Amino acid sequence: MASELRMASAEILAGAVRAHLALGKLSELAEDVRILSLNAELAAGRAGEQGRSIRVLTLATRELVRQLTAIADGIATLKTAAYAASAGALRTDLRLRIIERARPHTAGSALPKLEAGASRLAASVVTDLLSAAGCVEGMDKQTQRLSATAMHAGTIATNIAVEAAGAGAHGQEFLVVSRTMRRYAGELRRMAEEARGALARARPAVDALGHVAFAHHTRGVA
Amino acid sequence: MLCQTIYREGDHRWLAFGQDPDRPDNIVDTNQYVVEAGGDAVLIDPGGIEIFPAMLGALSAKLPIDSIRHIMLSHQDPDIGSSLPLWREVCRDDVQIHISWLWTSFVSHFDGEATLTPVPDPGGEIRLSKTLSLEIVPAHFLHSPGNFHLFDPRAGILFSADVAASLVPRGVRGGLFVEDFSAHIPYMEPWHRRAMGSERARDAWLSRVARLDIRILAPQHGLLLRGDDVKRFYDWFGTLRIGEGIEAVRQE
Repeated sequence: MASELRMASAEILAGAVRAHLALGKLSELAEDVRILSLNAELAAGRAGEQGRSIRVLTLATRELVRQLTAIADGIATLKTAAYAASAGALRTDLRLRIIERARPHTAGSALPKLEAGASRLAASVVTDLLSAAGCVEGMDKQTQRLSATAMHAGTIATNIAVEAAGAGAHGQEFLVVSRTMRRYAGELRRMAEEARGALARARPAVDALGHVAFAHHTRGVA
Repeated sequence: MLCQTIYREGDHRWLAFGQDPDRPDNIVDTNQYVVEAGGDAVLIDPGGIEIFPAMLGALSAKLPIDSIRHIMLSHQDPDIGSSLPLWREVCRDDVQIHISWLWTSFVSHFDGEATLTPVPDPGGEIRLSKTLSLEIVPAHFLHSPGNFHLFDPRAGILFSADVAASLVPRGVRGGLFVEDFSAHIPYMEPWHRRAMGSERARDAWLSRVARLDIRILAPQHGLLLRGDDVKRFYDWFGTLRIGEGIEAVRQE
């Protein structure tokens, strides 16, 4: 693997790792939102008619939890796939390095076989790295969904605050729910921004890899 | 890497590869062997991944790579066969890889795509030509629990893997063969005391090989033994106390 390819590989993997670290508490936060939603639903039940609007909002919160869980699962799957593809590329790269060392010593009919083997391994490295880059792009899409979900959580928090104003004696309880939801929305937004920043730093490497893969494919066709 | 023909009769020959002058000191010295007959060859214990460049270079200068139809791994250690995925890149697609049934799924950690031919405990044979079959001789627990040697009845050569192996410093080696058995013992003894797993296994192996007409013992490390030194080795090995290290386990 050429040095620029190794560098691209390292940056892609670093991007995936940093993004995953930034989203490390996403599952925990999704669970916190689920419990908050459950508590809000119980409070709305206790409030009777005055809690009717809040009950409708807790349905939206449930959907929020479902989305957060799906995003957390998606990120974990993509991270595992990115690690596997990077590990595959590194393993094959080790073989390629040894083959490179063997080339000057090799004679006779073994040499064209060695070169064919090197070409196969190089293609395999490129395939693995493209797969890792695909995972990084998938993680970027998931973080975009997370940003949208964070915004949605903020809107729900605002709506709960509005409804709390007309909930009489139960208003204070609903205001606490609103403030907590707003805090969670802020945390989700920060997570998404940090992860997107990490993935943006890997973007040039992903683009560079695309050019290398194209060049490799063109050589293969030729 | 040095390559020496240790047997030749017509198209039947044994090549021994080893004593690579460029080998880094932190990598144990290994011997690799090729047996060729009727245009086909078996590569025995091809070695670790680090020695692949030197070994391929030496081998490709001596025979066409497509003549290798068999690769035999005496056991599962990395210095025996971690180069396997690289050999499969250059060898013919139908090369047969022989290893104890015990290790097939372990060796797949080196090369998950290799198709391995499991050798059952009693051993078997590798047919090289119409007139030559090599005998796969069991040597379990010497040192690996699933371990095989390879005997060529026509050449009288037993590839003995870690049995008769020695760790000889670079400056001391004067050639490929032991010239003074008594002086050679200190290079064999620590290894045999420590690495051989069982005196019962040792005795069973001695009883088995006593029935074979062995003129050369070709180990995977160090110098080869020939002629009367083969018998001297049996006598020495037969009385050696092995299993060193067990006392350390017993101590509180």
